[in-house]
Amino acid sequence: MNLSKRIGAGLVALALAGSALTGATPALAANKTDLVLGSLIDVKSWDPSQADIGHMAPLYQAVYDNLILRTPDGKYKPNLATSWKLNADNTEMTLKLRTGVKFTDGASFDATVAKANLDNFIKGNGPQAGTLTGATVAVVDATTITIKLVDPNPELAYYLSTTDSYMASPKALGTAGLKTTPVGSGPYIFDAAASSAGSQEVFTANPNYWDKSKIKFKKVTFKVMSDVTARLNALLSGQIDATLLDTKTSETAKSRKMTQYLNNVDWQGILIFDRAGKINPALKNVKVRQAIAHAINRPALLKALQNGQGELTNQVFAKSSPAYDAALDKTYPFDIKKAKQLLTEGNATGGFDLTMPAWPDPTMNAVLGDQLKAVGINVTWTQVPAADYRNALKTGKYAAGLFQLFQGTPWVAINQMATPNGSWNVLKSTDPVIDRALNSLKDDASEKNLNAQAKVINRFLTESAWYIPFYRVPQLFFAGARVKTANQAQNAIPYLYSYAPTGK
Amino acid sequence: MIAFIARRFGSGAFLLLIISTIAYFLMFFSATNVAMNILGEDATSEAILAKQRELGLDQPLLERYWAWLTNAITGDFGISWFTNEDIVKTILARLPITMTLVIGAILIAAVLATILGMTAAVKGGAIDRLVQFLAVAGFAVPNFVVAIFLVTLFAINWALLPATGWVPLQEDPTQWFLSLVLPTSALVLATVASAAQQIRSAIKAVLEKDWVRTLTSRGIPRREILFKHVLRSAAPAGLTVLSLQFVGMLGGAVIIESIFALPGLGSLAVESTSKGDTPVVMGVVVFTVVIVILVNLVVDLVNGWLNPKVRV
Repeated sequence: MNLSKRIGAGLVALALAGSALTGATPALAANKTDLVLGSLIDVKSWDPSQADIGHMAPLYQAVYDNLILRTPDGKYKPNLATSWKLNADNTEMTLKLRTGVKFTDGASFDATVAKANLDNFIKGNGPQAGTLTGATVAVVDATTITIKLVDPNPELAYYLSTTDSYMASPKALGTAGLKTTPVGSGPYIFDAAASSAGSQEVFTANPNYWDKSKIKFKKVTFKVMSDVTARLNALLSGQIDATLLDTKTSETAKSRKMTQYLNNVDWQGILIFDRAGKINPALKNVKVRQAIAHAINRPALLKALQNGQGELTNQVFAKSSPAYDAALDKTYPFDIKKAKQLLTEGNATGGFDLTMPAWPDPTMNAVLGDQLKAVGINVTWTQVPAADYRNALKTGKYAAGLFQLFQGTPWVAINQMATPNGSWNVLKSTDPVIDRALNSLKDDASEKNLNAQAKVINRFLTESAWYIPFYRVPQLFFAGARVKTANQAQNAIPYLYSYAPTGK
Repeated sequence: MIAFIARRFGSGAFLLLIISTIAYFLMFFSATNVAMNILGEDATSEAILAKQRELGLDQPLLERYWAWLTNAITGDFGISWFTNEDIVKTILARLPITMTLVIGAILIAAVLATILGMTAAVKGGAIDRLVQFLAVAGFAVPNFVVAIFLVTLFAINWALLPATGWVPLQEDPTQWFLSLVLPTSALVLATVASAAQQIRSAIKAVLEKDWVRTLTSRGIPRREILFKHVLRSAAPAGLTVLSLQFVGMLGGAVIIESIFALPGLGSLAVESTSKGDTPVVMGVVVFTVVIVILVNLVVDLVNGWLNPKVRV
C-alpha cells in the first residue's frame, strides 16, 4: 500500500470513528440495584490481618463479617458474636458466637474458626496488630471464645467492630491466595473475574447470607480513583453513586444537587513533639507553646486552606466525644500581643527559630509561616516528599510538625496522643497529670472513669499545648440521587452497611 | 538488515541495563520507610522492623539489587509490596490500556498532522498561518486542561460519553470505543499541533528541492508529485517527530489516566512511585524502556525502508 492509500485508509478509519460517535448514548448510569462507589484507595491485601480503618473499611465489610457491628452513631450491635462481656478489669472478653453461619466456600463458622482468625490477626503484623499485642484467644466451647489481653482495654468492642475481627474462611486462612482473593461469610461475594487490583473490586450479593437486611444491592463495585477530579466527574456523570471530594470540588457537587454528608472526623494543626526541649530548647517552656497557639489566626487559615469549611477548635477531641469540653475551644484566641508576652515570660523574648517539614500544600506553609513570623517565630520548612511526610514526622528528628489526625474514641485518642508509647507521642513525652490519669484507668477502666479521665487528659493536652489544633477538617462525602447513606462515627467515610437505594 | 537489527537490539539491551540500574538506586535513595507506608501510622516500631525484614530491606543494597536483576532476567519481577499482586500480571493487565490509548492517539495524530502539515506547506498563506497558530496554541494548552474541558462538555453537560473508566474490548466493543474517545482526544490535540508544524517544515523543505521542480517541469501531475515523491522524502522527519511524540505520550498518559481514572501503566507508575513500591516501579521502568526501544527500532526500520542510506 503506498503512502497516499495509507492516508486514505486512515481517513476512512477516522470517519468511521466519527460516525460511531454520532448519536452515541452510552448507558452511563448503572442499574439501580448496583452500588458503585468511588474509592480513594484499594486494599493492600485481602488477608484480614492486614485490614485498616478509614477508606479500606467498606471494602473489607463487603466480604467479611466482624464479630461485632458498629452502627453509624458508634453503638455496638451483635454480628457474628451474639453477645459479649468484658470482665471487671477490662482484660478479658467472653464472646458468644452465632451458629449456622457458613462461609461462601461452604466452611462453617464456629469458635475454632474465630480463634484461628484472631490468632492470624495477632500474628499477622498488620497495620492494627498493635491493638491486640500479646492477646491470647481460647475456645471455651463450640460457640464461645475468650480474648485475654495483656493490658486493660475498655474499648475492645471498638477494635473488634473495626479491623481486628474480620472472619475469613478457615480453608483460605493462611494461604497465599487469601491475599488477592478474599473468602468470607459477608453479605457479598468477591467477583475475581470482574475485579482488578488497584482499578476496581466487584462483589455480588451472597444468596445464602444469614442477615438479608444487610444486602441492599445485587452488586457492589468499588472503583479506585485517586484523582479527585476523576471522582467528581464520575459522580456528576452518574458513573459512581458516592465518593469523597475536597473543598475545591465540593462546591461543584453541591451546585449539581449532590447530597453532602459532612463529617468532622479529623483535626488539623501543629503537633509539638519536643515538649522536653531536646531538639528545640524553647519548646520546653509551656508558655512558648501557648504563645504559638495564640499567634495562630485560625479563621484566616480555615479560609485559606479549607475554603472556610470546617470548625475552629483548640482541642483534639471531637464534639461527639465524652471528653469534649466546649470551654476549651476558647483557650487560645488569636492575640499577637498575648503571644509576644508569653514568649517573653517563657524566656524566648523576640521569638525563636523552628524547623518543621514542609506541608504538602505550600499555601499552608506560606500562611502559617507568616502568622508565626508576626510574633518572631521564624519557621524553616524542610522539603519532604509528600508520600514520606508522615514517616518524616515520625523519625523523631523534628521538634514539631503539621498533621491531620483522626479524632478517635476516648481510648483510641488517649493511646494515640497521650500515653508514653502513643503512636503520635513521637518523643515519648510524659507528665504527672497524664500518669495519674493512666494509673486511674488501670485501677478503674469503667466507661464512667474512662470518660472522666479523658476529660482530664483533654484539658491537659490543650492547656499544656502538646498539640495546637487549628480546626476540625470536614470529610466532604457526596452521594448522587440514587443512593443514600449515613456518616459513620470515627470513620472518614460511611460503612458499606449504611448505603441504601433511594428508589429514584 | 539483520546486522542492523542485531546492533539495535544490542544497544537496546545495554540501555535497558543502565536505565534499570539507575532507577533501582534512585528508588533506594528517594524512599524513606516503605514498611511504615505499608503498615500505616498506628503500627508499632516492632511491627515496622518485622515488615522491613519480611521485604528483605535489612539486606545490603547491592545484594538486593543483584537478587532483583537475576530474577528479572528470568522474567520474575516478584510481587508488589503493597498489593501482593504478581507484577508481570499487573503490568500485562494495564499495558493494553496505555498502549491502546497511546497507539490510537499517535495514529490519529499522524493522519491529522500529515493533512494539516501538507496543506499548510502546499497552500501557504492564511492556512499556513492558521496551522502555525494552532501549533503554538496546542503547545500552550496543557493536555489536562483539554481533558477537563472535554469531560465537562461531552460527559457532564451533554452526557454523550463516559467521564471516566475503561471497558475491555471483549466485554463491550461499543463502550470500549466510547471510553477511549475523550482521553485519546485529549492526547491527540497537543500532538497534532506540534507534529503538523514539523511535517509542514519537512514538506516545505522538500518542495524547494531541484528534483521537485524537474518533476513538475516534466508534466507529472501535482497530486502524484506530492503523494508519491514529496511525502515519501519528508516522511523520515515526520516519523522521527511522531516517535518522539509517542515516547512523550507515554509520559502524558500519566496525567490523562489519572483524570479519566484509567487503570493503565501511567497511573500504576505514579501510585507505585509515590508509595515506594520498588518492585512495581522497576517492572514499569523495564516494560516502558522495552516499549521505547521497540518503537525506536520500528521507526529506524521504516526509515531504513524509506531511505536505504539510513541502514549504513
